[in-house]
Amino acid sequence: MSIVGVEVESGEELMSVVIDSPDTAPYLKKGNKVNVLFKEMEVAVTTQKELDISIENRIAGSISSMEEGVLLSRLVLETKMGEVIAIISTKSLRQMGLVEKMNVMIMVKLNEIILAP
Amino acid sequence: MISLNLKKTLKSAGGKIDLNLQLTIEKGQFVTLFGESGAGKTSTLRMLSGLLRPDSGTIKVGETIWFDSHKNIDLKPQQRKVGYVFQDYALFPNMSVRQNLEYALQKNQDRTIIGELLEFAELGELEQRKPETLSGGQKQRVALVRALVQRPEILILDEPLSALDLKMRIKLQEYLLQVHKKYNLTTILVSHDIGEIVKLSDRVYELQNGSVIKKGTTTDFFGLNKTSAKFRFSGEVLKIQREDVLYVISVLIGNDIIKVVADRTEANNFKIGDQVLVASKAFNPIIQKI
Repeated sequence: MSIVGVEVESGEELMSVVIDSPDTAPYLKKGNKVNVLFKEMEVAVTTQKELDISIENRIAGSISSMEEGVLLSRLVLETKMGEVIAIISTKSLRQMGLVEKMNVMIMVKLNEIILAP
Repeated sequence: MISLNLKKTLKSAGGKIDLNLQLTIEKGQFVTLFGESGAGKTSTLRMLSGLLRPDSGTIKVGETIWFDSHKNIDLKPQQRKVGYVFQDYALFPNMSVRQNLEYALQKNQDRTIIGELLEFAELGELEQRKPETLSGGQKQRVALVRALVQRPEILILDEPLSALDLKMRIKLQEYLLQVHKKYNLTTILVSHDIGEIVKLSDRVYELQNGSVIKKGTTTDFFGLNKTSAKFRFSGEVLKIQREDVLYVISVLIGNDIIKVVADRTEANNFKIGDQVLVASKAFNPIIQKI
């Protein structure tokens, strides 16, 4: 098992835990390019900049558009890494008072990040 | 090791193609020839088994030369140790199951193999039946063991399961794997079913217009190794349904239908019938005893 740090083009670092190690997967080599994938449903959104929580990956962004559904809502977030989509409950969206252009932090746990060499 | 170096001009309804093919297959491997109809897959297998004569080239199996156009060597089909299973079974309708197998015996061959194969294929109770009274799966089991009567080294499976329903196909896939291992065969499959290919074969060769255009281990060939995700399956898209702000994609994997939630940017890329890879991190699924 390995925890892999990936530097994204914009300079941020993302972390992923994978079952492979450099012995079992040759692509796990310093300097090697990988794509980073995660599911929209796994993206958490907070309005607090410094949150004491065990979620390793945090990226600052702003809400560029919102689609409010009955149960779930789809947020398109502008970040340094590019566009990130987050699906959160409409209940959370309302409770947090999220609106377009708002600055937020998005968070993804390290076990949700897939690496694609 | 099987080394093929074949040239042949093929004429078909779709026009003329110049087959020019180099292929090496390691002994004991289960490989698939993949590609569109008319790419030359079946012609290649017919040349290997001696049913079609190449215009030029060589066929070498282990240390034996089966065909060499320069040295004028061309072993007859019955001298080549190849078992051939066709999609349409090709059983003799007027013969019983046992007679169909016995017909494949060579002169002076020990007959005990027939009983052994009937038992292995669980066909003992059906041995006196005529093919027309059997189900598709039973017929294909007879065709398969008939191909094994002469104890071949190479087993050729030309779309053997495509006429069967899904349940029978899955059962016979297991059975093909058993046969491949038990009889130490080098097996060459022609199939269009990616799930089936992934399940059965070690390597895949893609043919187009009579040449190999892509080859690799099965996982590399279909890009299954291209993510770190360990919880992965291949299947076919059955349904794409919008739910609230998301889409739910139903995928048939083996006998099971699973559902995957997708964002619209992904859902727009899929259509019903697409072959897809479904993957998740090994960290995410729960596991429970049943």
